[in-house]
Amino acid sequence: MKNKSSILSYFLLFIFAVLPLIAGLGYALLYSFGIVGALNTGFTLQHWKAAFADKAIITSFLYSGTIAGAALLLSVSLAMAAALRYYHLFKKGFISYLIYLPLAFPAMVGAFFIFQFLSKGGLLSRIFYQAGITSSMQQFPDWVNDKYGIGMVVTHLFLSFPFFLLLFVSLIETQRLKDFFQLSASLGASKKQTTFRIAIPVLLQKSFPNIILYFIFIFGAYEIPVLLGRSNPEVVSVMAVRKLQKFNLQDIPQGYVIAIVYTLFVLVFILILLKQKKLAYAN
Amino acid sequence: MQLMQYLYFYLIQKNMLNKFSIALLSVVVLFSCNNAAKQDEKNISNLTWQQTEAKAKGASLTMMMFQGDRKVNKYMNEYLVPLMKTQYGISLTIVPGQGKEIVSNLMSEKEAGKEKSEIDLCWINGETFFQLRQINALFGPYTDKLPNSKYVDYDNPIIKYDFQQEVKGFETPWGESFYYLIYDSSRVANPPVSMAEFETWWKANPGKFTFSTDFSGMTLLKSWLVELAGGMDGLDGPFNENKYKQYSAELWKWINANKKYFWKGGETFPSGITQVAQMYSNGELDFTTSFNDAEVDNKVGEGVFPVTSKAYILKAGSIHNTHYVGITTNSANKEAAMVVCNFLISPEAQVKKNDITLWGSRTVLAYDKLEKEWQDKFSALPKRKYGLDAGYIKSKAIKELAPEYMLRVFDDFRKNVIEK
Repeated sequence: MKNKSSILSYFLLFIFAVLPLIAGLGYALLYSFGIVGALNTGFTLQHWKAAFADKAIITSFLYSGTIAGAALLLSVSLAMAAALRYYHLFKKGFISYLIYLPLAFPAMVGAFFIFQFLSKGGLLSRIFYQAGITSSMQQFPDWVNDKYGIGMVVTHLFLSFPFFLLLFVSLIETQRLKDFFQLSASLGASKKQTTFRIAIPVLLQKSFPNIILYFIFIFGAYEIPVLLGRSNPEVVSVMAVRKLQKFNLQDIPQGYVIAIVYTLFVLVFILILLKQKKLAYAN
Repeated sequence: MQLMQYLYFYLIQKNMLNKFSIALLSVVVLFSCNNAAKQDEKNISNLTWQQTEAKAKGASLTMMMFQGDRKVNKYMNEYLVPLMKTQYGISLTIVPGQGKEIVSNLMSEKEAGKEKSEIDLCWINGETFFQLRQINALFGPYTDKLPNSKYVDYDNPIIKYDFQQEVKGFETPWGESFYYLIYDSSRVANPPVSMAEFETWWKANPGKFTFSTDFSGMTLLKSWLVELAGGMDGLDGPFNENKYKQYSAELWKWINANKKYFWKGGETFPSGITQVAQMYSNGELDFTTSFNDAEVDNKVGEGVFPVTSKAYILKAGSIHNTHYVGITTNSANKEAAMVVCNFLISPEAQVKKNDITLWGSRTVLAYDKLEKEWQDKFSALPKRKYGLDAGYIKSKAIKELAPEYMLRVFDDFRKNVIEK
C-alpha cells in the first residue's frame, strides 16, 4: 500500500513540478542563448554578458534576500511569541477565526491596503495630521516606496504572520508541547528554560521546511515590491519582468537570463537546506 | 506530507511557472511555416466591399484592448458590440490587454508557429505598432479598402506617422491624443511651463513633483528633450544619434541637479501614471499628466480630482499621437475585422467617441471631408469644461518622436538617473 502511494506521488510530482520546470527552463535557456525567439538570430553569449555587465542583477539578489530575511525574522518570532503566550486564544473562539482573515488577502490587495494605510497621503498620515502630531503631509515619515523597504516588510509580515501563528499553534498541539512543558516544570526547569530549551527549538525544527519555502515565496514575490518598492534597487522578479516586458524587445533574452539564474538559485538553496534537515522533517 | 510540500513549492513558484508553462506550450506546438496567410491576403484584395461584408457575416472576432476606463468599456460593450451583431452579424468579444500584453501574446503565437491567432483586432499605439511591425504581426496594407477612409486625411502628419514610422495602411486611425499636464490652481498659482520655471518652482516647493517611469513619464522627458533641442521641430524626423547624445546629456545633468526637490528626494519614481494621478488627487503631488483629452472633465465629474484642476501645455509644445486599431497577420477573419475597422471610422461611431459624456476622445476624421449633416453633429457636441481649446492645442502640436528616442530615454533614464 505504502509503495503504491509513493509511486503515485512521484508520478504527480513529475507531471506537475518537474516536467514544466525542465521544459520551461530548457526554453528559457534556448531563448537566452539566442537559439529560439522571434527576434533572435542564432547562438550567442551576448545576452548573458549584457545581463552580468550590469551590477544591478547582483544587488537585486541581495536586496530580495534581505527583504525576505527581515520579513521572516519578524514574522516567525512574533508568531512564535504569540502562539506560546496566547495559545488558548487562538485555539478556539472568535480570535481563532479572525486570524484567518489576512490569509484570504491576495498579495496585491494586501500591498494596496498597506499603501493606502502608510503612504504620506494615507489613512495613518491623516490621523496624525488631525491629531496634530504632524502639521503637513511632508512631515509624515517615508513608509512606502522607502529606502529600507519598510512598506514591503510590513506587508509580508501582515500576510505571513497568521500563517505562522496557525502553524505554531497546531504544532504545539500535535507535538504535545504542553505535556513537555509540564514535564520540564515538574523536573524543576524555569519558565525561561522551558521556552528557550524546549519550545523554540522544537517549533523551529518542525517548521523549518515551511520557513524556507516561505523565504523563497517572499524572495520571488512580485506584486508587493512592484507597488511598494523603489525604482532602484529592484527585487529579482520585478527586474526580470521589466526586462521581459519592456518596450525594447531586444531585452527579452536578458529577462530569461535572470529567470534562469533565479530558478537555479532557488533549486540549489532548496536542495542544500532541505537535505541537511532531512531527518528533522522525515517523520 | 512530502508530496504536499512539493506541490506547495510548485504553487509558490507559480509566478515563474506560468511563464514556463506558456513556454512549454510553445515548444509542444510545433514550428510550422504558414503559406495560408499569404493566400488569404491575395483573396482579400480582390473582393469588393459588398463581398467583404458578405463574407464577414457570422464571424466571431476577438479584440484586445485597454479596458481600464469605465467610459471606454461602456462605449465598447453597450454601443459597439451590440451594433456589430445587429448590423453586420459579427460577434465581437473584447478582451483586456494593452501594449506589452498584445506584443507578448502575438510573439508567443509566432514563436510557437500558431497559424490562427487568438486575437483578430488590437488597439495599438506608437511603440506597440513599432514592435508588432518588427515581428511582422500586423496585416496590411488594408485601410485603402475601407469605404470610410474617405473621411480621413491620411496626409495629416499626426495620422500618417505613428512615432515617425509611416503607417502605410497597416492600422486604422481611431482617435487623437495629446500630452498635457494637470495642476491644481488652488495650490499652484502660475504653473511652470519652461525648464527654467520648473527649476524655480521645484526649489520653492520641494517634494511636490514627480513623474512615472512608464510611458507617461518618459513622454515628459521627451518633451524636455524637444525644449532643449530648440522647440517644436527640434527632434523631428528620423532618430539622430548626435542630437540625442547632446541633449540627453544636458537633460540628465539637469534632472540629477534638481531631483533632490522631487517627491521622495528623487530617490525613487512611481512605476505608473495611475499612482501619480492618485497622489495628485490626495494632495501628495501638485501635478499629474495625461494623454486623455477628457481626463480632467471626467475625473472632476467623478469627484476624484479637485474642481480647481486645470490642464496646460509645456513651452516646447504638446506631443501628439494617434491611437489606431490593427488587424493581426494570423487573424482567421480578416474581412470581418475590416468591417469593424470601417465602422470605427464612420462619422456615426466617431461622433459618439468624441462625445465627452460617452468617451471624449478627439476624432480622426477631417472636418472638411464630412457631409454637412455630420459637421453639424460634431459641432453640436457638449463642450469640454476643463480641457483646452482645440485650436490652441493644434498650434502647439509636436509630432511623436522616432521610437528610438523612447527606447533610449527608457534605458538611459534608468542608467543615468535612477541608478545614480
